[in-house]
Amino acid sequence: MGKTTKIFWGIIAALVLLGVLYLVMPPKEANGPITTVASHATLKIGSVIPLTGDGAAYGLPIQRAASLAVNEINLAGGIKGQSLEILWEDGKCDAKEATSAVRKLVSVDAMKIILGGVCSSETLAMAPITEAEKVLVISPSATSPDITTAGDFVFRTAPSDALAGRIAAEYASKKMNAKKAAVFSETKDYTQGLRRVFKESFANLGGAIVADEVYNTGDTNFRSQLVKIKAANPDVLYLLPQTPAPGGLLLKQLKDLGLKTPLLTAEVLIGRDVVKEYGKNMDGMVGIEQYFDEQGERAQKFLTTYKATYNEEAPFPAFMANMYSQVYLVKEAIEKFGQDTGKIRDYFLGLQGWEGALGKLTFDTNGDPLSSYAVKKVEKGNLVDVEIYNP
Amino acid sequence: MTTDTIIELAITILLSGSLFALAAVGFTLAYRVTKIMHLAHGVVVLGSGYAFWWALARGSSFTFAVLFTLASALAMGWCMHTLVYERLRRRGSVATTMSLVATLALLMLGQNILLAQFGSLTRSITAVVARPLFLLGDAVIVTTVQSAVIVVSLASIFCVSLLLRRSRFGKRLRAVADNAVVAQVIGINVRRVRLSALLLSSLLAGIVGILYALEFNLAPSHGTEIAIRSFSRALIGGIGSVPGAVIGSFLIETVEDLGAFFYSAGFKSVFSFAVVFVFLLFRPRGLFGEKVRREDL
Repeated sequence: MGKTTKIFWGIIAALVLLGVLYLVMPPKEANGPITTVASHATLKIGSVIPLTGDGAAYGLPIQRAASLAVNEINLAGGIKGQSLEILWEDGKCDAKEATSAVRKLVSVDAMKIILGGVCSSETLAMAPITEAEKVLVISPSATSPDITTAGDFVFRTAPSDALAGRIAAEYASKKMNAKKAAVFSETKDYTQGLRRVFKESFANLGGAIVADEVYNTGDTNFRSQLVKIKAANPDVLYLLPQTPAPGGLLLKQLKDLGLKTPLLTAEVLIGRDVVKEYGKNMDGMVGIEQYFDEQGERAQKFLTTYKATYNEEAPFPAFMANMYSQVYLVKEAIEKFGQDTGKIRDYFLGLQGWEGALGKLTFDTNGDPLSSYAVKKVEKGNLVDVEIYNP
Repeated sequence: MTTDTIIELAITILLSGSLFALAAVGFTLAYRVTKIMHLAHGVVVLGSGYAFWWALARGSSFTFAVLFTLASALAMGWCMHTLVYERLRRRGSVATTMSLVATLALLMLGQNILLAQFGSLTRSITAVVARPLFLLGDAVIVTTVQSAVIVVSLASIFCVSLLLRRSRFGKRLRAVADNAVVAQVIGINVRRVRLSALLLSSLLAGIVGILYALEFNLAPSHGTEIAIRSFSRALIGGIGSVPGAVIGSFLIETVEDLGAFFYSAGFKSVFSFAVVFVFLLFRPRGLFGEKVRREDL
């Protein structure tokens, strides 16, 4: 190679490198979390939630809800003069990723309180690590029944699917008059928990499960399962995707196949932006989610502030309100007991209708909240209320 | 099992079977001429899908989006070939582990560039809406997009095999594939033939990318999956054989879909890789592959 060719290739290589660097640099988030300038000493807590991947569809709005609360707290003087800061780690809605994220928070950053995970897979993977170090975990949205017994220091503000699955089965059996049900679920902790409870409850109510199909995260072709479901001719199809993305594709393939079975689902597919995007493929679909009184005064303030700050409707209002409330709960606990997690745990268990939340908060002895459910239905691309279940 | 179900299953197999047959044909063609296990084929397919999505999302017309996608597929193929494969060849590292490492690196690099550029969220095309194309009353449905996927894939495969068998270009391609040294001696520009083989393979990848984006959705991690699918289907058909890649694809698709139908969809890849293992153990050259000569190893 001549000298000029070498120089030429050198320049090309440098340009390519610059190009790659430019591509690899994280793009500036237009509506990311608000960052506040920490003036004095900061008080840090950790958080593991899905910031990238399909789980970010709810991870990011939940993160923004937390940032909103942190910002309010810091503007009002912080916690005993210290400003509150959250160290975010990306759990990617995945057990493996959440494990390394929580290891970093616990051993490197020495966090005593962790908000999250958002997905059940994350929370269940975190629990053994945090339990050993007596680190407090509070999830705003992990609903798997297995989390109830995941550990003494594991709390959540979203209710267990042990009830949600039963309500779904009752609704299918009594309100939709279904005798034969089909279940189609993603192979994740959250969706498998719901699938298990629904199958048991539906059978107890005298119904038959005529098809029970699964798909793996990342699959893009659901046709063979859908053909099987169609052949079984169920009265209702209980759809359980972990994230909106495969759910949208599933609904499209359902429609392509001409399947007209009434649809029942959990919270993921009735996210407000999800309904907006895929509404035309989900007409008549019934979804069941944690009840959140959006008309309350503080709830209204939260929702309007959120909209004003991030320029979008809160897509998962119940989970986002949970996260918002949790930040205030942690603030109050730290003010009382510092970061002594043993005392905070006892304090949490003793709460009776705590008023600081966007609703009232009471934990049972396992750290699960007592909560109601809302049944919603998609009609002409809009989400309408059907009824409210109180436990 | 009713006739409706059987027809629906057949369409399921035909749909992915033909789409991934086209992907496998592109892969097998690149291998046949360049002797490189072109695993980066997966990222050319996915990159084309993203190019198509991006063009449509920016409001360009369907025709322009298609042309833009095919051009980007060719550009990707050209870059991989001239900047990596041919340079490795000059150093005598083809057909060794070096070229495999290089193509794997290209696959990973490509996937990460897509991740950085388009983010990890799943993208789907909303501009093109599939309409139902009825079949047998209103019971069994195939959509317009699905029939396009099947027809375009099979037609492209047909054109490629015609091109290989009948044209002078195809003859040159086969000559280089059979014996590059002899081909050179009789005056064929071997370098140019290798480049055109990779460009043809990339063009097919571009078509697969468009169809894939239309029928399924796009996420950066799909690149590896498409690469593995193309590779395993080409492998059991006999790497380098176009009819082998097609039959291999339909064989794997049938096993996967029937396995999912009669047993469980969670085991789809278990079924397909069981087939691959059976072939590796009992017929390593695949269905139509040539006997592996000792001096090639």
